[in-house]
Amino acid sequence: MITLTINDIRHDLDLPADMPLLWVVRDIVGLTGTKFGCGLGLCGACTVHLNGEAVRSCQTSLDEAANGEVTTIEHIGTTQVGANVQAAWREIDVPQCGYCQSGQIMSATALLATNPSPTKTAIEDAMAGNICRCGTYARIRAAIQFAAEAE
Amino acid sequence: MMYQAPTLSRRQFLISGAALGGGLIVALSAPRPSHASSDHRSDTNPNANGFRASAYVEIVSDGRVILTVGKSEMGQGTLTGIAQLIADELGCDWETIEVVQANSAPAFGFPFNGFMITGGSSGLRSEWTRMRSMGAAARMMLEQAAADRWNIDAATLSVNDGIVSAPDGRRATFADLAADASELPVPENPLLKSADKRSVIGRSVRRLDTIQKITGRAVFGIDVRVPDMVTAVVISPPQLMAAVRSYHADRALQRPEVHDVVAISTGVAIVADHYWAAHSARDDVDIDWEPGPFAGMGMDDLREGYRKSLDRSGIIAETAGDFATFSNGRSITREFEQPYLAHACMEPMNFTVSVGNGFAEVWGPTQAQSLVQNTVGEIAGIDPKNVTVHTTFLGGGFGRRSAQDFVAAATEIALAIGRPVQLVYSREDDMRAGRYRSFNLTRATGILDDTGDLAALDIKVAKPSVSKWSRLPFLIRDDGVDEQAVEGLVNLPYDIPNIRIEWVDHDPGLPVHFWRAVGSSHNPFVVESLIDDLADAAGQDPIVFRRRLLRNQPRHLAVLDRLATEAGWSKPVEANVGRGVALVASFESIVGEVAEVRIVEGELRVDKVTCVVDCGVAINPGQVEAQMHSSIVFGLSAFLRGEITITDGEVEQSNFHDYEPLRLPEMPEIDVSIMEGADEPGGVGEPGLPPLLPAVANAVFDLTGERITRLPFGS
Ligand code: FES
Ligand code: FES
Repeated sequence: MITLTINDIRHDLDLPADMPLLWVVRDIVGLTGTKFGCGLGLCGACTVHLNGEAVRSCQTSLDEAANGEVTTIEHIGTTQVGANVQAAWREIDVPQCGYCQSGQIMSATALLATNPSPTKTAIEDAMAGNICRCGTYARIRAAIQFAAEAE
Repeated sequence: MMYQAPTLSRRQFLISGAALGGGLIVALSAPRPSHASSDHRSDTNPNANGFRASAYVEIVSDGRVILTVGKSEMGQGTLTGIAQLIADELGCDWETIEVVQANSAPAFGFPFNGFMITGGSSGLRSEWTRMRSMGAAARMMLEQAAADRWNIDAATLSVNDGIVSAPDGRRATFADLAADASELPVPENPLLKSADKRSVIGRSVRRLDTIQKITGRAVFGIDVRVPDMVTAVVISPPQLMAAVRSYHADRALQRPEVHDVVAISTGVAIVADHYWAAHSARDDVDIDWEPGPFAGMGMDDLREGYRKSLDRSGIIAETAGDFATFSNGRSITREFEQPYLAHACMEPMNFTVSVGNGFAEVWGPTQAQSLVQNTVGEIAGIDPKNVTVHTTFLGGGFGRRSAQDFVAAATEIALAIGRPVQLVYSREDDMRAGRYRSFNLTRATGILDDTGDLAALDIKVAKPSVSKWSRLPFLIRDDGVDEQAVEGLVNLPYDIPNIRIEWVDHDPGLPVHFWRAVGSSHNPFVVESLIDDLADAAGQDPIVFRRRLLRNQPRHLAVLDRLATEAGWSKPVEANVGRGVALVASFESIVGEVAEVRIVEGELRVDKVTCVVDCGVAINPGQVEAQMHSSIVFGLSAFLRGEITITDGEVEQSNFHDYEPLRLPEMPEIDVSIMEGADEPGGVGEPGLPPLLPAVANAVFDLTGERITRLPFGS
């Protein structure tokens, strides 16, 4: 039995220790906002926060997350920074297909939580791991700057 | 005159009725067979439930305005755009709108054939008149209801934000009038606003799907959960299209979460409680594969086949002047090679199927509901009409999601196990499943006359017929030319006296499919690179050279001139910067782009793209800009490193490390200017892509003097 907290709710899970957190969240806990894109840590679609840090949930085993605090896109708006980021995303109207956007928002929130006014380079470093096939990058950048200014 | 009469198809008309709870519904009829009589009345007033399949506008008595949209939302903003068309005529409060994705029904199809498909940047073009007509009809009925109630002339009323007002100050809300309005006849020819009276069309309203997409609530195909559902993965052959000889699944079946392992026509499916359980059992299935049809084949063989095919004669798709005897002048001939490309939608292909008792219900991200009905019907042996398609959000489309491979596989599995199933491709499955933008080889010759004008253009392209592969035969012309093969080559805007465009239907057999901009994803690269070459040979500036060729094309010329201004073309660039231009008309829009490039530490870096688009009416300028960005990024990914290759019949790429879309740090600065050139919308989802590749190639030429004739860059 592995215990972890997801979006403030405690889960006791009888699952293989090597099962990726991504599939635990999506298929067992039923939170489908976190997305599967590559399964190899290459695209960032599956980004969640584990103990406040952005991680690729497809590369994080249940074991590694044991006793941790996981936050997903469904819950990120309950944090001040997360709410600001979502408000910025809405203001700039970032999403196109939207599939990558959960991951983008989780990465952006983790960045702004530790670095409230990031430089262009800091934004590039933090967001380079999140692919957007629809090419919303200019708006992502603008939304991060917008959220930073709102702080 | 404030109003103009629209032209609704004679085969499709408006119907209306009462919604549950005293609302108003105005809908489009299903297209009627062309021999049917013109008496519409017999089809009106089915009960509200009868409308569910085709309702487009519903004024609910609680004040909501529900719009049912038949186009698939894959990022291009069609849900919002269509809502804008309706809302502009209806005059409702934008905040009260809810959009619902329609189930499959003929009323949503193209008026000319009833096909329900989203593609070819056609969404707002095909809906332009009928959606506005529906909004206008509903508004006129609401006005009439108010006029009857107040006993005044409807023409004296005004409508704003969902409220009908009389000159004397009396007011009534849509919600209040809806029940009365539903008793009234539908105006047969609703009058549409003139362009200067529009208030929602032309405004950058925010997308209606944004909130769902930033909170994780948007439901994509992969998020569908239906009762009793299991999840499947398919082990596909390493060699493309190879068949299973035999397989052993004992070890996999010992896993408690694995329900079943079944062979289907394209591989072996593992069915389990959830994705991870199915996926991790892959290694526990031993499969003996037959050699595939491309065993032993690699890129050299493929290239050889293409080269030979260019020596065959093909079909002449367009000819002008007397090319056969034309010979004098300075000429340039080049051969351009462009690779197979994967769509790599962010959401891997997936589909959910439940089938039984002569009916099927399916859920998923599809661009082609009509084809899905046919696919499922054919495989399950049921009438396609009995296949209900629920369209989810699409995590990218780009043409890929009109293909049927994942629909067929999911249906086969559902039939084999007798239970609802969701098939999910891994990224590797997705990358290796074929359905690529086709490889193509093109020989192009341009000839200059003594004055340096372009006198002749002779282009021959070898590639397979994507319309045949995609089972859309209506895209093949009577003379056998696949329109998709030669789009971007025929009907060029340039004034060229002698022209010959030829297509060789060369099909190596690898599955190909529509890919963003289709033929215009590669043909304009050839034309616009060659034009650049010829300008150089004529000793002319590339924009000046094009201006002369466009002397009879005011819209194109206007785009080009605006582009020159926006890009600061008259000012020289720094010595380490190359600058290139291209102009392409596709999908009824015209886009010109200027790219600025540098070489930084041996790597090509695109610093800036200036883009000018004439898309007729820009229904939502913010979304037009977004689609230009999207197409530029998509094109740049292809230009820099997009390539699917095969060796010994196997696809070599598998995931985002070896097929890597552009990432944020590589994003160029993009500057988009929108022009309006006609009172009808052109496409916007694709036209930004075609000029990008030649603009960057021409910028590289400007910088290095080297002509790029093979993509991706550096190959
Ligand atoms: S799915 Fe985890 S990084 Fe792509
Ligand atoms: S919005 Fe479609 S992948 Fe980013």
